[in-house]
Amino acid sequence: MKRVDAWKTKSGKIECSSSACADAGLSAMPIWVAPHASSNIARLVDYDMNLGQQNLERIIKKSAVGAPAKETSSEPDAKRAEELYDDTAAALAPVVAYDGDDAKDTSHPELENESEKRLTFHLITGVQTVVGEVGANTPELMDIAQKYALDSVWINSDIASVLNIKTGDEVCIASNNNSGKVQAFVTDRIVPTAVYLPAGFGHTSDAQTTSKGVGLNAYKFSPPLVKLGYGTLCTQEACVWLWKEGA
Amino acid sequence: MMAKYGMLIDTTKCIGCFTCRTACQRQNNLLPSQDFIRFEHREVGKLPEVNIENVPLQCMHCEDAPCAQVCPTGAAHMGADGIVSVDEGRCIGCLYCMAACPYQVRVRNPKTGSVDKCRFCTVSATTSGTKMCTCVEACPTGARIFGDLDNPDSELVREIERTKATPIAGSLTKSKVYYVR
Repeated sequence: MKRVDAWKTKSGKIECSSSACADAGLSAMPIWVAPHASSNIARLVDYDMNLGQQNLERIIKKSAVGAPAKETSSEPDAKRAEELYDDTAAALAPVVAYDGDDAKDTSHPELENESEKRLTFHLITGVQTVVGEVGANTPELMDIAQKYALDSVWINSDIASVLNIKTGDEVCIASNNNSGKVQAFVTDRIVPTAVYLPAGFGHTSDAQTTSKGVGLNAYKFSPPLVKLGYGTLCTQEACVWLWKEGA
Repeated sequence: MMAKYGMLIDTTKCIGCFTCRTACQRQNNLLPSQDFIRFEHREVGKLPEVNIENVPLQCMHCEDAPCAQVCPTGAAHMGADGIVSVDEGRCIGCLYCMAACPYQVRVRNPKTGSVDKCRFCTVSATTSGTKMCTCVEACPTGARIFGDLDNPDSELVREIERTKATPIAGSLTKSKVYYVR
């Protein structure tokens, strides 16, 4: 894993996002940190879920039998946690630095020839009332999420008619970082230039017993960028292609 | 004189959070897929002047309940308090009631095969003073009011008159659930 000095910038000073963006040739996008930081943090969340589940099981065992349960070795877990936190350490640094090489996106190999034919949308994400960041991890909430197709991607009705997309159609979404298929929800509650993919889906942790594998993880479409200065992931700064196969 | 229980649902207050549905499931010990409250959503207007109407649908406890009329065993029946109930032990799972219900709010228990629906369980707060985890109690915006339709001084009747609330489908059945839209 390539390391970047968290305090080092191109000019050797702490830069504001505007000049860093300008240096990177980007007009409005705050800059970088560790490559693939967003996917690493997604893994970290899943790891924490697994760890939490293991702790919960230990607590249940202890309370059920009234005696300490036999502890399993935590060495592999600790080692993995160290690796994961190490990977994301730069991303979580208090002041984020800019690395020009890592800020350059690489094109999605499957989309190089096709992308020009497809419309590009600003990807918006965020949680809904029923599904939090960690997903609808109870059977009742997951039943709501699936019955009402809460994992659908929202698309403006005018644009949807142009693309021949109707509510319930399966559409493809792709960015330079990820691609996948999900149901469409056609609505007038979103502007034509953006699509909304709800957060809290596409989890991979076994501890997420009901939400694992449902929907797409919106954060994996985001660029591996973190906002300068305070280190928040650029989850709202992604652009995606969206299309319906055969349309 | 026995009360005639009914409910008011103000869709202008409903934010579509599904809290009523989950509270109902907990209170009545339902399976995750059993929903006595079904949501319908309707968008009103066009961008940028667009809003959404959330309409929670449930058993309307009709005075002329079609479900009770078609039930071959009397499992679906109306009590003296006007509450339409289902006797699970007498239900043979023929699903006639599900076909007859014009609001399509009856649900089948996939484990037992019997059919069930809203029990107006929130009545306990009125009859015995015991408030339970019901749709009325759990609603964070106070969109639901339960009470006696025969009592002109009740909050329910006053709000129905003030808001000019009506049954969701007019005179389709003699519904005891009123909606503000």
